[in-house]
Amino acid sequence: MLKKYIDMYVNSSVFRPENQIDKILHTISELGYTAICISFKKDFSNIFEKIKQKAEVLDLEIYRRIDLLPKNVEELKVKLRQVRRKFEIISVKCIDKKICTTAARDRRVDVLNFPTLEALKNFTESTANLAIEGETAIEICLKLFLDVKGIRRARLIAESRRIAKIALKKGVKMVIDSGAESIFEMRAPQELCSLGYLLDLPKDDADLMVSEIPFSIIKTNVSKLSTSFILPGVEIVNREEKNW
Amino acid sequence: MVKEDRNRYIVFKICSDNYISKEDLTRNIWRTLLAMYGEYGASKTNFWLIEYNENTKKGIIRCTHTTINMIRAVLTFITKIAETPVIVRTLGVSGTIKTAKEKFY
Repeated sequence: MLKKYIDMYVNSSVFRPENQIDKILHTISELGYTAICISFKKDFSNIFEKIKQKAEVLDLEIYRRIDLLPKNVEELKVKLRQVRRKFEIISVKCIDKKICTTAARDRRVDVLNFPTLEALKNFTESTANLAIEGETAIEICLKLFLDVKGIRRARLIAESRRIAKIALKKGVKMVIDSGAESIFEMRAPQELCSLGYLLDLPKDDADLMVSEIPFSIIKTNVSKLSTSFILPGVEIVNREEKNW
Repeated sequence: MVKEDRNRYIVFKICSDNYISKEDLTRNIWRTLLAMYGEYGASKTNFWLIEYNENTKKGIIRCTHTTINMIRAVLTFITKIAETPVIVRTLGVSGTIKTAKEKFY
């Protein structure tokens, strides 16, 4: 059986202009993906349904994702309350140490995203411990590396290597994705795995980070989004009719 | 006796809307390779662009068996060739040029 790969972070801007959706989905499928998560910034219901319909023809699964960029912890909590059970993936951009810590231990958060080199410094061993408690994964985006060059890229690789080492040591889930804003920023799954090589990750682990780990996160969340879900492991199988 | 440095051949394809010449491609790969690993690192890869078809945009790169991932990372980091945005996608890796051509080219 062919291995299933997923790009867990594709911005909705990839699908612009709208008349190119078919071509873009075809390219994504050709790259070797069986699923993608699209991050939406504004109202998305129309375009999401459109993309999903067209993707079905190519056997491509489409999931919704939201990236929260809160200014402080209070705002994070408010936003989490608002978006809970509306998206398959909830990610928090950890621009601040406090936000990073709060997001790491919050079970509603699926992924911790580090949008800058400075943000990567917020991830420490203590954050890793909280991430294990909160079952939160950390995310390495290829786009971050493509946007910079020279010294800054070297520092970025070094810092990412540090957090990858902590994550592996502590057993924190890790995913690698593209974070693409245009189709030309997307790469094939094997190319994303090669990023793992730069971060000194074992090849098999890097492979899991673009396949099984993100799929397991999505599987859990999809079951949570279903109306029959009550608790992890407890769900309504059948409703008995009242006849008394 | 097994050779220490065995060659591997990476077949790749360029996804782009525009025409990409062999010269531009070679220059771009070398530039990225040198920027990422330096002259010493690049020398260890035994990198060479064996073949590139400008019409199909498919090509074959030679490297040593220990540096496949290094070259794959280089191809990942190529974003533009002659100001044209591109995706360089690996189609497969093989031990001989013949098999590389038969299987993936």
